[in-house]
Amino acid sequence: MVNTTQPYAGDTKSSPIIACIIGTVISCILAAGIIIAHIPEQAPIWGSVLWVCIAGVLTITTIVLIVRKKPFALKVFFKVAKWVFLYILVLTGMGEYVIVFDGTRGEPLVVITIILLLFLVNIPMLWGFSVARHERTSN
Amino acid sequence: MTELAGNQTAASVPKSQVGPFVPLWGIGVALVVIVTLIVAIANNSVFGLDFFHVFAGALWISTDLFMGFIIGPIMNRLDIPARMVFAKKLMTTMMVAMPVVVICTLTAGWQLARVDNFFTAPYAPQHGWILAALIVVALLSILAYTFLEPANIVVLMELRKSEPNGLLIGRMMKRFLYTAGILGVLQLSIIIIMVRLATW
Repeated sequence: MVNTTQPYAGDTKSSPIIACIIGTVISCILAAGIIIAHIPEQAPIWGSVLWVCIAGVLTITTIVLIVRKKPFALKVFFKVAKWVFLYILVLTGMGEYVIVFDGTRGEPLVVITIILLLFLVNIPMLWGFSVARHERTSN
Repeated sequence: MTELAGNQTAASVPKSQVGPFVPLWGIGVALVVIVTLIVAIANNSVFGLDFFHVFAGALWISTDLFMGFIIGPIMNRLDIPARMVFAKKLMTTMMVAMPVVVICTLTAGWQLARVDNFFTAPYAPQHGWILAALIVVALLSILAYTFLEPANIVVLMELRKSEPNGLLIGRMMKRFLYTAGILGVLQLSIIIIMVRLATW
């Protein structure tokens, strides 16, 4: 940690990592929205798959950007992310439970599961990054 | 005055902590609530689902409105040391309560819509209202997960340090309260949609 007496209001620059994660969340919501809007009829799955693919690409971009970010308080990032992961695991677990319980099967179930997995990865990254970006590190 | 504020910071801001991030009893209560929700879903209990959806939903809406329109302006008038002491208590409680409230509202609401046959009839008359509710919930989720909760965690993490950064806490608290205000306005539209669905 760098000690300094200068007033520091945190990292105020706009970050591509945050933009990618917000993009992922919006893509996931659109993908799920297409399926939900068609219930009880079968939704055209290609629309959801397209948004899921965009979300997947954005997730990979986010991971690459975080790994390449220097200096970055990785320890703080993981400290926050692991607890958030636990919370989102419960949240997505409940989501998966009701979807399976309601009898959703086949392609819609696969797409919804991937969406929930993307949430499970992205929200801990977002919250972990939101805290870690304000830490002043020397590495 | 500035010097006084500095002394106050040293005197009243809690020292760094190594204990649990949130109260353990709170996690226990949260687990009991979630297990009860799972039982209500598994039994297709209309009473249980209605109870969870209405109670948690009302709690979610009132909390957002209260935070945005009552606590927010009060916090803005407090000096930084007072804000930090208040934020520490408030954010710790919010960290446990809000995720559980959100899980209960959304999960019970989805099941209730299914039990009430909103999803079984092809394009039921209520379909548009259900979609409107889902769109508002999507907006709420984006704002809550990308702005509100990260600000909450930054404040909590900062308050655990031996020398918390008052400037950063102030900035994040402002973001938290403004976002809560926006969520409060969105919640008002949810009230309108829910009342329309309940009185169909």
